[in-house]
Amino acid sequence: MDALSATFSALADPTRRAILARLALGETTVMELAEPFEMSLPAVSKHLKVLEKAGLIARGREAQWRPCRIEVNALKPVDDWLENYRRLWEARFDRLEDYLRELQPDGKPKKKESKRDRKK
Amino acid sequence: MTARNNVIEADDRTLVIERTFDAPVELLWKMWTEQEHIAKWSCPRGFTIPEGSGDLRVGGQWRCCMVAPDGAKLWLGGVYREIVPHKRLVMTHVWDDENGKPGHETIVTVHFEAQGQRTRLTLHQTGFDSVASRDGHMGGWGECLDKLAELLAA
Repeated sequence: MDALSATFSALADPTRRAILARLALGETTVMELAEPFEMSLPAVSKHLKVLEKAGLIARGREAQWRPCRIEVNALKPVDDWLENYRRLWEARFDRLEDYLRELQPDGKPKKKESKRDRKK
Repeated sequence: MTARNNVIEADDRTLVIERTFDAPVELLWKMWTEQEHIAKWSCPRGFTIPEGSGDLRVGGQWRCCMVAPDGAKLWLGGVYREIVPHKRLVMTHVWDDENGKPGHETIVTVHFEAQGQRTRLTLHQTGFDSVASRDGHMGGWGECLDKLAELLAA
C-alpha cells in the first residue's frame, strides 16, 4: 500500500478521526483517550497502532503512560492530493462550460460562477 | 463520540466544488454519462481523451485514457456506485500508477440541482470515504459528528 493509501485507510474510521481530533488539542495518555469512547483500552490501543503505523501519531517512550501526540506533517500529503484534484476539476469544469456553449450556440453565455470554498 | 471545540468537520479533507452551468439538468446529465460527451470536456485544456468506455449501471465500470500535451498516456477509471438520473452520480475514481496498477481509490459524488434552465453541480471527492465503504463500516458520512481537528492551522 502506498503512503497516501495508508493515511486514508487510517482515516477511514470515525473513531480514529475522533482520536485525532482529541490529540489535536494536545498530548494525551491512552487512558484519557479511551474515556469518551466507551471502549476498552485494548480496543483503543488497536486504533492507536493503526494511526501510529500510518505516521499520523507518535507515542512517547515512558512505558506506563506512553503519551500520544499528533504528527501534523503526515496530513500534508492528503492536502496536496486534494489540491491536485481541485485543480483538475476546475480545469474540467472550465472545459465543460466551453463545451456547453458550443452545444447551445443560441444560449445566453453568462459569466461563470465558481465557488471554491471547502464545505463548511 | 462527542463533538469538541476547536475542531472542524472531518470532511474538511473532502474536496467540494460547486459551479452553476448555463444548461438544463438533462443536458448536464448527458455530459456526465455519455462517452462521446465525457471525452469532450473531462480533461484539462491541451489534453485529449482518445479512448473511453463506460457501463452506466450500478457496479458497471468506466475507463478512459487521457493523453497529456507531451503525449504521455494517463489511464483512469472506476466503478459506478449510484445512478439517480438528473440528481446524483456516485463513482469511484482511480488513476493507474506508473506500473499500470490501480492507485489510490477515491469516491466522486456529483449532485445535480436544476435551477430553471441552469444547473448547479456540487462535486465531492474524498479519499477515505472509499476505504470506509469498502470495509463496510461507513458511519453516516456527512451526517455524523465526527470531527477532525484543524491541524494545519496549528
